[in-house]
Amino acid sequence: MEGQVLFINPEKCVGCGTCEMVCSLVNEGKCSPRLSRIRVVRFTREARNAPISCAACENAPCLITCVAGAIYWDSELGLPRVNHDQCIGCRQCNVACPFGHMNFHPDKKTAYKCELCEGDPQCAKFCWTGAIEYVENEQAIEKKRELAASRMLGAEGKA
Amino acid sequence: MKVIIIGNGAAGNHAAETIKQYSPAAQILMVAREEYPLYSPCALPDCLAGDLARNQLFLKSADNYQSSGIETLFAQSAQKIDVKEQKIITDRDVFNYDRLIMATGSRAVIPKLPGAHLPGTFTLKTLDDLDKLMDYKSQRAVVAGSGNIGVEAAQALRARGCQVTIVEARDQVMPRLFDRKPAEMLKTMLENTGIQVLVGEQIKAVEGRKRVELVETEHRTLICDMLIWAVGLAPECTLAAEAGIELGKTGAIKVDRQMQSSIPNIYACGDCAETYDMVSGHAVNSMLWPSARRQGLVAGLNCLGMATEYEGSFNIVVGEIDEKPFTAMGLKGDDYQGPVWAMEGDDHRGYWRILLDDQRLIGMQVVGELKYCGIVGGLIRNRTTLQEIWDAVRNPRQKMNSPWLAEAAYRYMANS
Repeated sequence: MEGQVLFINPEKCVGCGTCEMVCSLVNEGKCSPRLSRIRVVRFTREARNAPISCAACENAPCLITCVAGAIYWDSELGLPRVNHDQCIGCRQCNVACPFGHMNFHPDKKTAYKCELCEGDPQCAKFCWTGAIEYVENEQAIEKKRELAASRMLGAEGKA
Repeated sequence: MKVIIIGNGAAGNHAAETIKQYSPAAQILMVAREEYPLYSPCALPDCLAGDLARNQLFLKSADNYQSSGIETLFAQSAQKIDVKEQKIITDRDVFNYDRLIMATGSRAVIPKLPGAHLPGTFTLKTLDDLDKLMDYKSQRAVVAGSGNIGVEAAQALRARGCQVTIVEARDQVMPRLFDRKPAEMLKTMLENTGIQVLVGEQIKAVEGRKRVELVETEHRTLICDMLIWAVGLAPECTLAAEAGIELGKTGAIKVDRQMQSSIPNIYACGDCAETYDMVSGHAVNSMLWPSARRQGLVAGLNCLGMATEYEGSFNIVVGEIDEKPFTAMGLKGDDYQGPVWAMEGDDHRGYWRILLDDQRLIGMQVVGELKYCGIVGGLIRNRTTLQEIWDAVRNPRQKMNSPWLAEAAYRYMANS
């Protein structure tokens, strides 16, 4: 599990919202995009979509800002996690996250974030376009490299 | 190598952990005046309000120190630093050091006024303060100062059923963080929760026979049985000043980018260190948790000879009034030297204000919904120009590289 990351290719995303539904169903018990960890940003005018999830920063701003000691580094999964009993709901991490991923639970009043479903991310499993994948770190970098190379050669969208 | 850390706060502990992580053989001795293991001073108002149990404040237990190999000397204060011989003298003993990290923190300011120390007057900075406050029964409380601590303390007391009055000497609430317009909104929000807010009034005297009974301000007399001083924090630098360590303009220990003080082998981090602001570049004494942790890390690494530079403190404060969050990031517009251009928006989701100086983002203030604030915060940190943002948003390829940026730009800047 260690060394595996969520690899998101926004070019493949059609904005169907399956990941949001599955995520909230698995983690919160109801189908509600508002409670989903992963969120799809939709640019309707340009017909482009991008799912946003935790970037698993090594020097994570959310972890540094947490004043209650609720956010800790899970070395097994390789990303910061929230201890919900310890969270005081101060929202520092919501503001600190530069990707806008850290979410705030409207009922529980605590922060929550992607925790990779304990090493088996359901969003990646159910994403039928292949925009979200759970792959080896090296593989992800290789894919990104391919994407960038294809763009450089002017073959955007063909790769 | 023997490292002595004075202070057991966020900065000191993070420095210790960093040193242990990179050099497990290093001997670390932590000297602290307080007897408790690391706790979160930022969460004290939550505990006062009853949202948090007292034992949840602790972030470490005494065993944690032992198991990570950090020697502790709590409830002992360092009396003197001998810079030449490289040793510190505490109440009971003398210790030699190879590297010294000053993480002495700060203390709450109590103004020099008649009766300022009467029984029934409190500060809210340490766990001892909180314990005293919890034991004290009060009906009517006055909170002096409307900074972050003042506002949080006032709300906590309100939740405990007190009648609360905030007295602020400057002419708006949260004068160091917010511009006038959002400050007015915050004041109204505070008043809606039942807290009386008096701005532009200085406290002249505190009176009472056995304990606080009256607080005299410029315009009126307030009857109360409790007074909380939340007028500010001052760096705790007496020890350093006596040892001949150079202090900066703000009264804190002057450090370079590697968190080293004017004397070799002595480092400073946390509330007692004077660093510079990431956005303005001016000397600033950042008393925020994230800055302290980051500074502790940098000081720890530099102690071990791993040259690391601190990237500057970034001002970011988040709070909540009556379930409505607010945040202030970067600089404040009213005090800025030079022309400032403000973009404002006010809709059903809340109020926001982004400040630009000559096209560069310098600050943001939001009351209401915090969505995508972090992204704008990141842009302020990078001193992004408005043009760069528009370039990124208009170019579809760039947009997919940073969809969050585009989303934030739409949310905040599309209609201005």
